[in-house]
Amino acid sequence: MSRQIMKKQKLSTHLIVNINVFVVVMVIVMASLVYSFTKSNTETILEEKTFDIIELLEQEAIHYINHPINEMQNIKERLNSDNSIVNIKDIFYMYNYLYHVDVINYEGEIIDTIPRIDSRIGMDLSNSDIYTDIRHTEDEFVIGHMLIDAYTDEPTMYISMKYKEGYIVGYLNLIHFQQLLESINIHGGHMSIVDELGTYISHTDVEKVHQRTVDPFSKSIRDEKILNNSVVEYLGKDVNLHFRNIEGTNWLILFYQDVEVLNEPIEKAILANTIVFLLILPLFILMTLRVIRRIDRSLKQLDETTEDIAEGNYEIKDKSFNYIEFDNLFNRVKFMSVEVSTREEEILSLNNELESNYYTTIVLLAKAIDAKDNYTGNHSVRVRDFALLLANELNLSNHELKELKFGATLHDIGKLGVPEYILNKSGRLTDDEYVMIKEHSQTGYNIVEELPGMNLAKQVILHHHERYDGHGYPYGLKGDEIPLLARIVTIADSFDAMTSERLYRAKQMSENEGFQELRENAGIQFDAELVELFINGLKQCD
Amino acid sequence: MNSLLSMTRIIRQKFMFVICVLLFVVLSGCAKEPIKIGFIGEISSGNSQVAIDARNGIEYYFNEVNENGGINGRQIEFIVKDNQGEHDTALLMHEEFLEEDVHFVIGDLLSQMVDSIIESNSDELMFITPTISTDAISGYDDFIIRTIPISTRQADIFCEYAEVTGIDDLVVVYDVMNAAYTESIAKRVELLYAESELTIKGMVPYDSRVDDLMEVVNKIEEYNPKNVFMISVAIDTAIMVQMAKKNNPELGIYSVAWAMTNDLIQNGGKYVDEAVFVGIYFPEVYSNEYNEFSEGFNNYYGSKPSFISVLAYDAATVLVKGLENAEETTPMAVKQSIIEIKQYKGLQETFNIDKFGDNNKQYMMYILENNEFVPLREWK
Repeated sequence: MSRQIMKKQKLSTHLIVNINVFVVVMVIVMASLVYSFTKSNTETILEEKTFDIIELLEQEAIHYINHPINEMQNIKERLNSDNSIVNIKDIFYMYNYLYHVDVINYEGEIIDTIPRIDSRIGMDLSNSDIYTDIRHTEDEFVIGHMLIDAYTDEPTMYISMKYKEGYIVGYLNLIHFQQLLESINIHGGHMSIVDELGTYISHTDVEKVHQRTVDPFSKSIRDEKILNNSVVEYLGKDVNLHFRNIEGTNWLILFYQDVEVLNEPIEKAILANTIVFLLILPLFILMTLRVIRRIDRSLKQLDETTEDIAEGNYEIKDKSFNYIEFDNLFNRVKFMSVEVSTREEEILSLNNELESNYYTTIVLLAKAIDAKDNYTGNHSVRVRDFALLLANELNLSNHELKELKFGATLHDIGKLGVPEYILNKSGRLTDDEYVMIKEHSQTGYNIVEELPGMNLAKQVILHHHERYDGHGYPYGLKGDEIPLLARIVTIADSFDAMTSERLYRAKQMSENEGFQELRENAGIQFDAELVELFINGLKQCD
Repeated sequence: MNSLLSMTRIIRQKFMFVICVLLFVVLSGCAKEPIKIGFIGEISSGNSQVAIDARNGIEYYFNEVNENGGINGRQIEFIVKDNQGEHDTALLMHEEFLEEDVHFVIGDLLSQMVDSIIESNSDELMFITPTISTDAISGYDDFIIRTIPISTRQADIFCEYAEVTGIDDLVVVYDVMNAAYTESIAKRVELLYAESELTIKGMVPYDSRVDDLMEVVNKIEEYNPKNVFMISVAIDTAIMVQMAKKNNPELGIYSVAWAMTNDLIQNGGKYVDEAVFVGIYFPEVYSNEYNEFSEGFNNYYGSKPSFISVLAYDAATVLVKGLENAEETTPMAVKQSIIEIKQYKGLQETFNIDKFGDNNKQYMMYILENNEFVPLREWK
């Protein structure tokens, strides 16, 4: 059942389709493997790199923040010891980690500044966050949040500390943090440090600091709503957000790493893979096509060879194939052809012998028929010869010739069923007798009907008394309705009847008279074309 | 057999899932373009508190809008630019906005920059200013919308208050750096005082960009006033108040909405306590919207919103409503849409925008007590 519904297709088509499908699947699988491998590899490398960068930044930031704190401690110690601001100015000017320092009394009033800013002296900061923060803490110092320094107009942060007579407030010069960020080489993305409120202390885009921008994610980070290495949208781009708290502060380092950076090596790997694939693909296709073409050609040659053998052409020329398998197959086919040829010759020889014996029997039978009729002599054999002569003019096949030979020889076999007195009657036949004579065609056919094969010969026996104009018997066929071999035998039979010596006839016809008679009845009794071929053939024989 | 069937089903489901994901990816690729909205103000100097407050109010509101699906499905891309307090820089930034396909800008913020927006506003670039209150742009059919009442109304209400409470022997100090705003108020106060029985002892103009504040205070003291009306930015106001009150603790201090920022509190110390301000009208009972905004804002920025943040939020609301209802996102269509909507529910009050893009908001008096601006409602 399954064989019936199996869809047949050409081997070459099948190979091309399957190989291409296989190649596409392989490419997809390879691309997926390359993608996953590169992705995981890149992620690991970037993660390590990012960790290093952030750790480095943290160390640097701690280092930097310690400078101004140390400066402040120094000032504090001086103030605690001799309350002499003048003496500490020299220290202050040695560094520039602080824009300036305010010295505030317990009431929140600025009592001095470093460097000296007269307009600030006496200002009340009692309502400010700076004063509130340091006043209410037990800590040694407080690092405030981002603000614009009223004195320098620069973004700043303050560090406030208690000393024995009040507080000192230093305003951080944030340029160092900015320089710190700028010194770190980050590939794609942004980096920033934010204060406890999320305001940028430093940012790779310095404008964000000047504009006191609040980071959109720092609050969520502090509320633990965002995990490290999350993908978020920042400044219109998808980024991986990494963060880390700077030890000893409420500040965060934020690293927005462009997702593109992660994708870049992956895309490169995929691109390289694609290029290699595109370069290899035509080569691969050419090679595949070459192999398929060779196989296809070999199969065609084998097909032609077997076709030749099927047609009986056993002489096979040597052929060369690209593959050993096809060579072996060809040699086997060739050997098989020789074997078949030998066996066929044996069979043919046996068959010929059989046929010869068979025909000899037939001739004997014909002679028996002819012997029954006093007038005819060797009529059957002559008719056979005339018929074969005409057949030669027609280029009939061997099979047809053989059938004609049998049919012509046995054409009158039905006469075995006609009483001899009728056959040998010299006077006019009665109607009944004539009917009996006419029946010999059908009787002959009935006799040979059971013989195996010989179908054309049987037709000759049945129809050799049909006339071309349709007035013959037993079926009154006309023209081409009458089998060709029967039409041949009709002419041969009639010509022999005209030209052979008959006891009941005074004088037999000469050949020419016979020809004349045939021509006169051409198209009436005989096939005109065959008549002319017959006459020509006979004349040539003469 | 069953396992084979279930495997086939799973494969089919996975296949469908992949198709859905692919479709989603394709459709996501067709997501609507964001609407670019600009912001301009002096955002990186000592005078930047107004711009910072405004930027934060707008940023907070736009984050809310974006979280709720944007404007008709389009996200807002907020582009902030700094004019550095300079006219020419502002014009340059306006050009940049156009180059970046930004056609709606919230700002500018100080009346000193009014000329720049008068110059640049067009059917290509529309401005919605939350804080420029100068009368100079009132009554014009232009592409400037504002959500702050005109500044001379501040003078009117101050003078009413002055008459009721008897603010006599007054010196008016005003910063000519923002003359478009300060001068119109100063002149209006001068005019109204002249019509009343109260006296103005002197007018002290100064330029915050060049003048030493100590000298300005000295000038004020030369008039020996009982009261000072300071039309100046918060930090200047705070410093001048400190200087003046140290010598004259009884001096009555009055100022305007411009100074009502955190800078004043941070830098004014105890001397700004009891100072009285003309600020934006605030209803007696805070609206739910305001309370939510205030809480969210405080949570996000670590400080309560100033009145400027509120004005900026209202301005952004007007623009977003206008964009939502406009047939197309062009300044002409949006302007038309804003005027057609007419009535807006601000954070604190409902207000109208008229056909000139002006509003009917009001001012009221405030007193600074315990670091908070407390509305004065009883004096009338």
